[in-house]
Amino acid sequence: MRDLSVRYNGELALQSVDLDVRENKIAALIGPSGCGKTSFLMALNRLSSMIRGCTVQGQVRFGETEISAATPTGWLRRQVGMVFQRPNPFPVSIERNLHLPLREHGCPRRELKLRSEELLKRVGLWEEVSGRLGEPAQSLSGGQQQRLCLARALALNPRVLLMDEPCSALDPISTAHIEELIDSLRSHVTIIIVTHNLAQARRLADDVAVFWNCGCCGCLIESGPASEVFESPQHPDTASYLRGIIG
Amino acid sequence: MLEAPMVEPPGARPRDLGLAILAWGAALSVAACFFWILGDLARGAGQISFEFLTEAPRRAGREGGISTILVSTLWILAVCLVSAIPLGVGTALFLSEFTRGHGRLGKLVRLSLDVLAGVPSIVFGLFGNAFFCVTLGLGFSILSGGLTLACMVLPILIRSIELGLRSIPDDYRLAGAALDLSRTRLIARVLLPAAAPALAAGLLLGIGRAMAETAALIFTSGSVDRMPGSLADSGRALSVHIYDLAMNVPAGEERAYATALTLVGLLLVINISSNFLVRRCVSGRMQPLL
Repeated sequence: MRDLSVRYNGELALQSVDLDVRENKIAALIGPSGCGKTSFLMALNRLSSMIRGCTVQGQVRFGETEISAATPTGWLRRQVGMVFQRPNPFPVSIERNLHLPLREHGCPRRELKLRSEELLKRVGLWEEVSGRLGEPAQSLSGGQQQRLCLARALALNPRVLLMDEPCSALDPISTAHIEELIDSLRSHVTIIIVTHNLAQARRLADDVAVFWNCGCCGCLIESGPASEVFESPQHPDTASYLRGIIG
Repeated sequence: MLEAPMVEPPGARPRDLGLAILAWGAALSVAACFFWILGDLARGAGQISFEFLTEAPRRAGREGGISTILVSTLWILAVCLVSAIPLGVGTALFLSEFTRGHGRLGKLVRLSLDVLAGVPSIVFGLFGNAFFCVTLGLGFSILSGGLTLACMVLPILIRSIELGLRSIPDDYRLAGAALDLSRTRLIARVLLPAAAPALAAGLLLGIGRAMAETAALIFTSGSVDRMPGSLADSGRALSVHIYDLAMNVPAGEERAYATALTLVGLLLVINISSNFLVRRCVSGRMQPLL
């Protein structure tokens, strides 16, 4: 990402972010609320275009491919999956939550059950729901719903997974489940996760980017390998934030 | 140790007593009104029999049954729903998913709906007579009656579905976009099933209004009480039959009450069936539209 800025109705919300994310690594975006982390995340798969008045400027590249307004969103969103802050399974049955993206992206009808089973096993949900796949997804617990959303995002085999505080609405046990899953995906998916949980960032992240409120808008104040940022932060605000003095 | 309860029981404070009396009084008045109507209609219960439901009316309805009236009513209702549902769902989708309250066309459509919702049924009857019966040449027919009723129920239907669609959290739309679901699939498989209760509520209100309608139907579908051979034939609806028996037929009151009781029973059956279908749709056990 180079010189990435996000505006809402002309007002700058995030200013000139330059950030490199390594392939098949986990990058954690940390920082206080309202400093543009979610705006940044939504600019990466152009979900920002769905928000009225939101404009994005700057350069985003996936490998050799530069993402622009002309990039087909279909291609982009197959490459870049997303899991949201609140679990948001569709208000249909558990299995139909997986069938929908699978069918949309060309999975033959006869393979739906098999693929759904694979995805549910991948997120550790199969044993818990195999007997009630036809039940509403809303009948699952919060943690199960979030794992279902993760399975749904993985249905498209994305190269990059954006996660916007995926555990913020979950209890510690469900959080541990999700963290295990994120860890298991590390080797074959690039993950960019927004989190307010510094311990979680320490446990999971290979790289860390610290966002801050720089007066008028959000900005990136520091980024680098997690060990360096946590052990010897360069920016005084990062140091204060990590020590819990501010933020 | 906690000795006093943290929350007082509702209505315990004297200053809440007024509100409690008002709420209880309102609820009891509504219940009393319903039972009063039901009690009145029960006068016709003695007339209802298998023959009453399956025989054609004779001697202007004093004898025989209401089979032809039931068939005409169901045909009129079918024409009304078949034409109103696609238009209603389409317009509601336009307002909630494509314009989101912005844009001139959206505002114009909303204004038209608000005005249409307040138009008296007799005006719809006059319009239906002039447009469907005369201009389109459909004459007094089930088709004219059904289409006129469709115009009447559209505002209720559209508003109800639109509100249902708007109440669906944007999370689903964002999730659909993140999964690159086509708008058609998202609407057909996620949003419309989620809005099914609102769709059903709108339909029930619309059906209720359509089945209770008399003025508009006298002008459009006519009042012939024979069995309709096609949609182009005139047909008498239950509400028109009730009006005719009560106002024009000497000693027709008991039969009017029996017909009214049948009408209420029919509405109850439609209500229960649609609730059942909505529950199946919401629980995901029923295949959605597309």
